[in-house]
Amino acid sequence: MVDFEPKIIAFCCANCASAAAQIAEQASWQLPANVKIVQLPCTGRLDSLHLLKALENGADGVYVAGCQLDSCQYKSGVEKAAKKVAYVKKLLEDLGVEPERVELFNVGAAKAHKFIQIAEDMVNKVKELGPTPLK
Amino acid sequence: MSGSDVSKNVAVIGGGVAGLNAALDLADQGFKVYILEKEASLGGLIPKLHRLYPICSCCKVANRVIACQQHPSIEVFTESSVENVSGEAPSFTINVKTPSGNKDIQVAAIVVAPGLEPFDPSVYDTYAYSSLPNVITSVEFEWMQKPIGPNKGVVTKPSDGQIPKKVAWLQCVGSRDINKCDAPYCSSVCCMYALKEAVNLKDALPEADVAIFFMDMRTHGKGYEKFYNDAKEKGVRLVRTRIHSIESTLNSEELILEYVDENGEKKEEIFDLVVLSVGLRPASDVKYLADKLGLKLTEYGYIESSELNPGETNVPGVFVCGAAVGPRDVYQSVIGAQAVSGKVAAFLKDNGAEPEQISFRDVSEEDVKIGVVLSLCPGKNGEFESMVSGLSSYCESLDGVTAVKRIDLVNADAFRELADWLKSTNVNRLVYASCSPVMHKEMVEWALKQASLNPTLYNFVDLRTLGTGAQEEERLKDLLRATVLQARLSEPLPVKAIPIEKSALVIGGGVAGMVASLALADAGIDVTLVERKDRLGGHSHKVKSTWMGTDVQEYFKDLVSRVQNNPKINVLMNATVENARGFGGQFESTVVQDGKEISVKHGVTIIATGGHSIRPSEYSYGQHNEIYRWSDFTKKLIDEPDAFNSAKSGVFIQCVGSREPERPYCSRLCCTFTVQTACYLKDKNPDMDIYVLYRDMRTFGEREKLYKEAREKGVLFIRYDVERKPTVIVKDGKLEVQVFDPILGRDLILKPDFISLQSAIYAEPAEKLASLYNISLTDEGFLKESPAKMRPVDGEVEGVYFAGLVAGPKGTEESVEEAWAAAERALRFIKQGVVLVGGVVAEVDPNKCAVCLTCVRTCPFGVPYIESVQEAAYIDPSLCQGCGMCVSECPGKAIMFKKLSDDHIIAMTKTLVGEA
Repeated sequence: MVDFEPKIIAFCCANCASAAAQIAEQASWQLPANVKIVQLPCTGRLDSLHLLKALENGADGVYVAGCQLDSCQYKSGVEKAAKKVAYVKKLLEDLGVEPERVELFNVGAAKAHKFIQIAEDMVNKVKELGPTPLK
Repeated sequence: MSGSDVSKNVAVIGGGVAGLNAALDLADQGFKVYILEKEASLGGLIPKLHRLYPICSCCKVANRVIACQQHPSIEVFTESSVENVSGEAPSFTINVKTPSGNKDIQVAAIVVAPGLEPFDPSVYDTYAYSSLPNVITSVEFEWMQKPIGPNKGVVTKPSDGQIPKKVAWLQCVGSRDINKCDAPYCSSVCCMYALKEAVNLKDALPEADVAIFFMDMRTHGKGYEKFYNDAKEKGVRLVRTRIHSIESTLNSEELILEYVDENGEKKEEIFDLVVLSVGLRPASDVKYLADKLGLKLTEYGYIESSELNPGETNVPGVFVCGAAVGPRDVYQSVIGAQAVSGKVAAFLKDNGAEPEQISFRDVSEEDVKIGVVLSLCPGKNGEFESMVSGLSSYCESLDGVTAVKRIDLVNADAFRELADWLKSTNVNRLVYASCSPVMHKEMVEWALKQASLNPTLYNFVDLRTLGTGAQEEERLKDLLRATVLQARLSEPLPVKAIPIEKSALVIGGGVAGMVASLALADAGIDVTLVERKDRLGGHSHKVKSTWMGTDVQEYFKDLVSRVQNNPKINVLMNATVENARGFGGQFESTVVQDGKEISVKHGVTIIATGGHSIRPSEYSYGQHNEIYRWSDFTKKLIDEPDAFNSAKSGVFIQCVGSREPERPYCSRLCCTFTVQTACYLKDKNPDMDIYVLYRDMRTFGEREKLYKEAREKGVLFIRYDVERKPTVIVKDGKLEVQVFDPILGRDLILKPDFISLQSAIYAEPAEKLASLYNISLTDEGFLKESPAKMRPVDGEVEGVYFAGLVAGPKGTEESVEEAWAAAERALRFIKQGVVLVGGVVAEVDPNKCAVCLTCVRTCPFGVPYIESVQEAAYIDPSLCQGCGMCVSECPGKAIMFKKLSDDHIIAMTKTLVGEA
């Protein structure tokens, strides 16, 4: 298991999380290579199906990086995403799959460090969990 | 777009936030702009700051810098200075010293925006800034807090690199004092930035003791009071005193602050880091530029500008904006810059270039031909460079890709080059990989338009936060493959160019509404001005003068006659807007006048419905004729200038209904009103006793001099706490005020002849208008600016702007500036000629819609509604903001989002994890 390199999909908001990425870029901080980003216009665009299909297709973990609750450009997008993440987590639990494979993080536009940190945390977490049983 | 037609050329001197905004708005209006910046990079002071209230600075300035560097109508000269200016409007020649030799540029108008400099406290020996390492300035502190700064966002003590445990901010360093190195004015921004820095530190180090030592807490901006309240709640300590000096222990590790608190008690505290909240000074080159251009300076060394003609200087054709006009914050600088852009366009009596005609090629029948562009910022390092050729050939091998190109974003030519390449390769989809995709979006869409390609045919790949080396090449290949796949799957989305109606509806006939109407009418726009009452002027009827003393009565009466005599302005009195439909570019509103419905078609809407002061329910208001609201007090002085000359004593009570739970904001102008009026009364009758009962005196900026003057004239100021408010009783027909004096430590009884209550300002209720035009209100009932950062007079949808009291409490001169800004934003929009409707929007399939109303409830902008003919939800493509929320919420999957469908997302995730 030591060599296990998880595949992780990150659904990122094109506003706040993207701005955080911009600062991280300026600071030359790097995202772990396991993480592949799919940008959404708003995390409110996220559907439970997207999370489930990503897992079904072989992702070992999926996370959502949305805005802080008080600064969503579309007011309530990230709240909607949070509900879907909670729903999928419950579903995974019922299936006997670790719900930690799916997470949501609020990343303010200036939180460059957090943007990288959550990616690293997610990689470490999924490394502990091992490969997805859903494949 | 060449600079050959001098009458369309404008020079902007200074590339800070004001200069950038002025440049972009002028360029959008069709002018050719030269930006002259003395530093090596654009942005001014803001890139050095950590965050701006309320969120951050990163998304506010960086995108404007990039836009300026790459705008086809903007030429940027960095490390350049003005050597000489000759000629006069509209034909100036500026000799510019650039790193590659001197150049002459010909311009018709000049905008001066050299900005500010923080005060240098090293001359200030009592704070020992030079000798004690742990005494730093707020700018240095913020640089440590900045994640991309040398400290990577971690605040440490300069002496030993350790994390500080006790940090103090000292306010008014270099402000509000008249020692040899100070300025008598208030710098206006320091209270807010100290709060911001302290709150950010508290967030990072919750156990740290964080204290701000201040005289008056001046959080007079829109939403600022809330931040102040939150700061207190987060445990930031606020101590009302002025620190006299900083002492230190022998090893200079401990900094001792000695002070006398408000109860007169002597205290001593030890801190390990002290931040000096340094004030603002005009930039060092302000005087030099003023000499070159023949501009007058104020007594404080700022550039003199006309109070009610925002941005105008004593030299025709030369305008000024930003902090070179006086201490001001970013929002005011942006408003000023927008107002000046409007002024310049009006001065040049030129409508800029004609809008470009847009037509899109129909690519639906063409085979998919994807062009991939690898766009490299100068910041991308050598190792990345080495991957480019490998990635290029990988992209060429992908299904659907017919052309691959690398572009280097070094100058404005990059996007022109991109446009030419799009034309010559004849591709019909673009995959664009860059390290600032969001900021490049506008420029890429511009290039697509040049090649007659629908802007929705563009997908981007984010090159940010990626490393280098073999592993990275694999990830990049994955990302490129996924995005090419998405491009291949996507179909062109219908985009319709709808002409913008060249007319405006201005709602509210006060000063803001009238100024905006006149600015638009002078630019050739037909204006309908709707006023609820039977007279124009609004609140100005009760304003005597601006804080600098300009007669507002005379000013607004002149405006009224100009509005009434302007053939381009149709004034509808006794009228209200009852209904509206449409979108920016094509509105149709129903105005009801005397029971009669009038339909008005207009391209833009400006809301300037004003505000009122509340009728107090305290301080015995209404029980005695000599207890006035401040507006009525002024009205009386306007009608009878000597009305109060014989009074022996008068009391002014501040914050009546402001800064309390019901209205938790500052009404901004009452403190200035009070000191100005007190001075006026003292001039009339020097023996009159005048007492001002206040919580914090907020005579921000240069208004401070009125406060100083009032004290010199003998006006007495008594501070009260909100928990222990003064009381007013009417006893035997006489007034009696009781107030606790914190310095004497006991109650005082005052027996004034009159009382003026500075009652809170609130916006004329605007819920209905906000909902008709799809914009929103703040919690406090004022109109809310666009969430796209730094658009202070723009509503949340395009084509709707606002100005004056309805946007927040402010003085007449500030309303005038906002009105110019709103008119300029409206003109800039109208000059686009057409508005593109459709594109990345949600679309309902009426056959699948079960009319469950989920989308109606979900949409953050209230766009979907149930259309009765189809019996299905309908989403107006011109209003949809493209967030996609309803698409995912719709239980029947009846809403499509063709730019990024569920199939696209699933296919992308599959290819991202599916291989290797």
